[in-house]
Amino acid sequence: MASPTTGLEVFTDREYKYGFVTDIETDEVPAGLDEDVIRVISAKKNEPQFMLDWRLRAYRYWQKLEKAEAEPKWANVHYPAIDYDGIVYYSAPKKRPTSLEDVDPELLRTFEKLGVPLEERMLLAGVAVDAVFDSVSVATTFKAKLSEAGVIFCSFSDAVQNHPELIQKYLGSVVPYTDNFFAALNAAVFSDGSFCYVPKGVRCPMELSTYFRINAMNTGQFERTLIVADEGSYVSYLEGCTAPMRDTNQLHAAVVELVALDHAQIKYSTVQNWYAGDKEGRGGIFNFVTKRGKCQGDSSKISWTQVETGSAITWKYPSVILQGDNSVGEFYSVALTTNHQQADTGTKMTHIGKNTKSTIVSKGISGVFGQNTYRGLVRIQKGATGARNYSQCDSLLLGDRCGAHTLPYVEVMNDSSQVEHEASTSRISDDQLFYCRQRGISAEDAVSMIVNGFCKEVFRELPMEFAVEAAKLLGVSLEGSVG
Amino acid sequence: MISEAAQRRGTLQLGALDASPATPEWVRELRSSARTRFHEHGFPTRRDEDWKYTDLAPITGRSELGPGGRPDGRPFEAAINVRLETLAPSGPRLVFVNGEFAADLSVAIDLPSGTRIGALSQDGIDPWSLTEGQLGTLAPIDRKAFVALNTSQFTDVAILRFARNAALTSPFHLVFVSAGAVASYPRVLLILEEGAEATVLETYLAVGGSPFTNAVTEVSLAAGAALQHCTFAVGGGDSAAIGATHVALGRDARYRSLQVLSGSAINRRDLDVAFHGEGGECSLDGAYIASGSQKVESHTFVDHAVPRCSSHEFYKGVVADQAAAVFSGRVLVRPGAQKTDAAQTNKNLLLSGSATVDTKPHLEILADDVKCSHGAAVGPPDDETLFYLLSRGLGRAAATALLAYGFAAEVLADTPLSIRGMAERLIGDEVSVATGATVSFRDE
Repeated sequence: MASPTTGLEVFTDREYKYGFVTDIETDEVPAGLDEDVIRVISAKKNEPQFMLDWRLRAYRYWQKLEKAEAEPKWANVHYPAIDYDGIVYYSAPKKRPTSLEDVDPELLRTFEKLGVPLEERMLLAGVAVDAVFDSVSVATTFKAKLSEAGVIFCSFSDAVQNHPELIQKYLGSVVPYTDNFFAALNAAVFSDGSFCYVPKGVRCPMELSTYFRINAMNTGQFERTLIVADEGSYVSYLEGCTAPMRDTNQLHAAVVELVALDHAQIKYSTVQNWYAGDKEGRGGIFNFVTKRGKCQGDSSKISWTQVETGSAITWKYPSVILQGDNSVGEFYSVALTTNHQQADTGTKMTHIGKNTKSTIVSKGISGVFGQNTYRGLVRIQKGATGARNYSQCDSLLLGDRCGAHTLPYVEVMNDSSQVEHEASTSRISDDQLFYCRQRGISAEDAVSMIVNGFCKEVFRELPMEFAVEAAKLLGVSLEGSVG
Repeated sequence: MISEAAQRRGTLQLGALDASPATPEWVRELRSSARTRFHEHGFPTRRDEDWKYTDLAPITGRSELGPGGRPDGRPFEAAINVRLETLAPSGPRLVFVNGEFAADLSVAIDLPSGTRIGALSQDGIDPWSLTEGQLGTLAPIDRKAFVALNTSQFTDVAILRFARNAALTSPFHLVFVSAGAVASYPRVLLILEEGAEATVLETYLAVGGSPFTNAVTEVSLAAGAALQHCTFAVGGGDSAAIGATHVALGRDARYRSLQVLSGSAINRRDLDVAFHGEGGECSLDGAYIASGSQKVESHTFVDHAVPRCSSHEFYKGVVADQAAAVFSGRVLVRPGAQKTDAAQTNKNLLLSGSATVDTKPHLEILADDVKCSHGAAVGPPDDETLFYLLSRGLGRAAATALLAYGFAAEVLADTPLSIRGMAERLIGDEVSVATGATVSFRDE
């Protein structure tokens, strides 16, 4: 049998498809961080006093952490020390457009290159796109249709101006700035992001979507997303990322907070394809994200689905706090690491309410030198009687120099709950490959097919158009690492 | 730098072994560096990942860590005899009380030529030569605080050296009794030369008071050797025990371990198995049972450093009342360790709303041609099964006891008959304590 490495070189030599730098005049504050920088950010965004106070408290807390031990060291990832004084904490496109016509044509072209033509998407896919270009939202679409339904979907800064009461009530209620090092940093300097509020009993009429794009050199992205689903409402949110190629590592420390009240449902899907660095592991994005949802109300449900194929380093644990009785948390993940990529990802399910349920399905794929770690916690508290958890973590190894690690933690504190965890690690068996090959399928296609099947359980959870994109993305990223 | 904890504890004293002119220089050096290591780093804390779930207060709060000798009191002797009768009734055995060899309680047998079993302190031919090159090489003092503590404080060593191709048919029993409020540091060196086969039992007993036992066992299996190794750590009362077994397997060596652990103020066993030669096999089975406000912990680490080895782990736990159990199983497959077959299962039965289980089945895999899996489950007794038993006239306690016993004793499925009865009785006794109903056996 021919070695499945045939064609490998073609793909490993493939340049990052979305690697280009858009030249747009940016309005930057000097690199480095102190209280003045935070005051400048807050003032530029014309924020109310409570926001500035909160940012400053977060900054002081972060300073304490930085003096003590800087970033947390427990994750199974390795990278050179980050120079926090070398980062530009704020940059915004200078011309602030009022409608889509005013949007910088170059920016629109960028989106087109990315395959995200705003107009087309608006018309064809029926997706409202809140495009985040660097740190300030430049185009928000479908506002009218959403506001008809009473859904508030806008940039975070607009929400601070127009709905300060909602921000004050929910900001930091799921991820307080004391949560961790990067959450504190984000709270201090976050520049913009998305905000969504779905009122009582409303089913959001369309899938909401944000496309992130990292642009100006040395600009850390500090996004903050807050989604609140009021009683009995439903919202599905899509997040997708691509970034231009560059040499210096870029820090991305986003925070996503979800709040689901009684009987509300939030579905949050991510396809992440940031620049992962070149074959030698130079460059690439550091993706250090804190994502957490709180099922605050009874019978609420939060579902995370993620497909992680990009970033040099991924450090993220989308979690659910199951506080309301009968609430449900879900986590579906595909994480792919090839070349020198490292991913330490997983979830935390904290069962507090009675009869709470959680499901975890994690698929890790490692190739070349990729290091893939699943790290998860299932915690059933004493009062969470009748709780139920099922976890499944499978890893696929596509090379003999990569690694797959499964580090689950299970903590159970009452006897009426059931927790199950299963994990397996293997490579694609010769039998499977042989079966495909003898039917005339090339090694490349066979591997791609088998991996797609391996991930099916997760892709099924993605909204349709995302599932197609994800499968394609996986195919492209993967073929470069079959060995 | 001396840590705060170390300062609070004072300094570890030099023992009789350090003073004895018979002690060779390499042993002195080993003990001295272990002492230094412990002084520098002190006890682990909950910030250490390995000790995240372990509350060491019953140990760190002790005023005295120096080893105590055999107690004089008659009541102790009586209690020790009673426990020996039930747990190590017949057959050859070495008994140590608070780390001191008790010749009067031990039973000797004829050994195959070249095979030596005895205590370091026994009269004989240059006992240290039996340990050279092995003692202190398998259990690392630099990474494990309690191994360092034991290495600097042990007062005697149980040495078992099975000669090439020697086969000892009957189980050999090592019994370590801790009595009174003192600390003791049992140490075992177990060596199987090429092709040797043996069955060795280690039983740890706590009798009265609140003894602290810190045991270290080093096991080395040369090519083709096979060992059935059992560790019964019976806690109870306010006793505190931290024990570690470090195993190195040569080519085609087979290691089978059975551990039965019961709860106490703290009863933690670490079992580290490392494959040094291809074709090695290990199966690690265990049951842990805790009730009242006891704690019991089982930590295993299997290091697949070379290709074509297989490891199978099967641990089950029964936790009642306010007790807490911890299982941590780490499997590391190093780069190049192809054709590794590693499976791990941990299941826990919770018998009370206040019982706690923390389980951590970790896989770290750095080779691709491997078959690795792990599973963990935590839950209450199955309602339907319980109902079946109740509908046949069993009381709730008796039905629960029967279920719990059946659950835990599943790990004995592959245990040789020569030691199975003892393990069954031990599990039965502990389940009876946990459920408040006696588990009866078919042979009684």
